This record gives sequence, structure tokens and C-alpha cells, in this order.
Amino acid sequence: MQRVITIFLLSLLPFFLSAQDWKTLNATDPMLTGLKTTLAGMKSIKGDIQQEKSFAFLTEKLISKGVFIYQKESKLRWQFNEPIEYIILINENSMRLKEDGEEKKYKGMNQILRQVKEIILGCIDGSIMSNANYKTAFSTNGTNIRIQLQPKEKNLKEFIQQIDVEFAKEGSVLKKVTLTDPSGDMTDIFFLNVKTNQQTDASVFADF
Amino acid sequence: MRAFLLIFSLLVSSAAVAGQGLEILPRGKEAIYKAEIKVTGTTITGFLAVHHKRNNALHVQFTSPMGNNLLEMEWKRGRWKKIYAIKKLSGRHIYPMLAEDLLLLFAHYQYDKDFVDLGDEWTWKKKKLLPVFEDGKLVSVKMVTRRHHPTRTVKYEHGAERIEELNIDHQGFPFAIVLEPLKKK
Repeated sequence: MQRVITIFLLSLLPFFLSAQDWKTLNATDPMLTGLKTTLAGMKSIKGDIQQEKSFAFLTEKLISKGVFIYQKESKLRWQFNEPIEYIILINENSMRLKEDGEEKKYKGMNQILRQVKEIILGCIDGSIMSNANYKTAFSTNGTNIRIQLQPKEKNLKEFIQQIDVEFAKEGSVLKKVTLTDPSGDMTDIFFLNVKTNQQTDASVFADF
Repeated sequence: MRAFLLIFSLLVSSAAVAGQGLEILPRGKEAIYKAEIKVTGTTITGFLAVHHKRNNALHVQFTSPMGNNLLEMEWKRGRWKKIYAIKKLSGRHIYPMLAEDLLLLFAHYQYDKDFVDLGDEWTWKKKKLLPVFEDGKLVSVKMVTRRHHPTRTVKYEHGAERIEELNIDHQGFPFAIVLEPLKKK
């Protein structure tokens, strides 16, 4: 009986450990104010992106690879090169899409694209932290700062259950965004080889 | 009379088994396709993940290129179970049409008890299916429903090693699905 209890307690250990890894932060914590200050001073950011979508019923993951370039204010090129070409161009108020070499018009999908724009830009420049449409929680594991966001609006809840954004504590560099669907499925977006405040050609936001 | 019924049921079940050589996605296999769903003027592009389970259940999930789940459902023992669907795809007319089209695309109707292989033509749920074979490979299936009902055609483009494209088109109604398997690295 004692052995069974020991095995049971040992099996619970990983859950306690993972819970202890992340410590809750107050919204006024100096670590967060520091992060906000650094992000506010960031003029541009670019790097590689790797998106990994896991399906509960498949062994295979769907992996998309590409690049992103962001420049203040509200200019973004989000480009997947594989497995299909998929480019989102955001230039202030305009938003364009290209798929497999063809620019697409999405009459009925504007709402989804608006949400995508708000989420991507908000995660990159950190503005999502103070977005009133989300309930926020902050935590740290010592090396990273994590912001967990849950949409308040019914329209948003249809697409996203939760967004987890992770920044490196050192340098406030964006590391990972995890999107959790209402169905519970997760999509991880890893930001690699990130460089900040570098010269960017304006034409990358203007055309495909 | 009993003997006659027994012989007849054996004939019907053996005919149904004959159609089961048409494996678009073999049992136990999984695949991810680039998918385009064209619904009344709107094209939704994404990926369709499919698993043909060992018990012949068919689990499908359609996601956007950004990873959002747009539709997830499972066909098991002759019924679809909706796990999740966005509003645009869960309508009273769209959802059943989409569900039936997925069974047609993957020729999964052959695992339904209502499927009967009559040789040159098949029947499924009182609808006639007209298959066309080239070099022993299924290249198209036309569904003929009751009079005045739109007809659907499924087409398979075969490559050297696998099916390179599967598509279904509705005649007289703006609804189509195009699937292309993702190339493995």
C-alpha cells in the first residue's frame, strides 16, 4: 500500500514542479514595467518563425516556416514559405494576403483577419498586454516572462481560448506565442534569430 | 425462405466487400492536405488533417494557415460527430454537405452499411455512384441524386506514387473542396 502511495505521489511530482516553475507577477512588477519600456523603445524587429500545430489525433505535426519583419507603427510582413506560401502584409490600416502566388480577397473572413492582425501586432509590440479585450495574467520562470491572455468578447472566444506570449527576460526579446483553440488544440509559434532596431526596406510592407 | 434470405444477404455483403479495395487513405494511415473550401463566393484556405483509424473511423480537422481550428469531426459507425466548427462552417446546410463531401472524397462511404457495390455502379443511401477507372485506378466518381437535386463529382489526379489532388465539385451550387497532400521533406 505504501508503495502504491509513493508511486502516486511521484506521478504527481511533475505537475507540482511545472506549477512551481512559473511564479505569478503583479501588473506593477518592475520586471513588467521594464519589459513595457523596452518594447515601447523598439523601432523594428525581424527574425525567423516556426509554427508547430499539434493535432490530438495525429502523430505528425504541421510545421510551417518563414520570416517576420515588424516596424513601428503597425507595419508587418508575416511570411510562411513552407509548406505553402502564405504572406500577410499589414501597412497601417491596410491588410493584404497572398497564398500560393495569388493575392486573395476574403469577403467573409474579415473578422478573422482583424483578430489575427490585432493578435500578431499586439504580441510583437507588447500592446496586447494592455488591450482591454483580454483578461491578462503575468508570470516568470526566472529566464522568461509569460503573459497569458483570455479574450473577454464572445466573438473573440469563438476563435481563441487563450494566448500565451513569452519574452526573454534579458533583452525583452519575443520567444514564443502559444495559441489555444476553443477545442483545446495548441499552436506554438517560435521566434528565432530575432534582431531588433535594424534598418528595414519600406517596400517589404508595401508589396509581396 | 430463410435460406433464400441468407444467400441474398451473403451476395450483398460480398458485393460490398468488393468495393473496399479503393483506399484513398489506407486504414491506419494519417495525412495532412493543403485544403481549399469554396463556400458561396468565399474561399477558405487551410490544412485538412485526416486519420483513417484502424476501426475505420475517419477523424478530420480543418485549420487555417495560422493554426486556428475551423472544423473538427469524426465519422464512426455510420455517423458524424461534430467536435468543433466555426459558424461559417456549421450552418444547417453547409455542415451536412461538407460532412458528406468528405466521405465522398476519401471514398469512405465503402465502410458504411448502406454502401452496395453493384459492379459498374454503386449505391449509397439511395444515391447512385458512378465510378470511372483508368489503369485500375479510380479517377472519378459521379453522384446522381434524385431528380432536380444537384449532382457532385469527385476527381482524383494520380501521380507516379500517390494521388496528387482530390477535388469535389457541386453542379448547380457554388460549393467545392480541393485537397493536395503536403510534400514530405
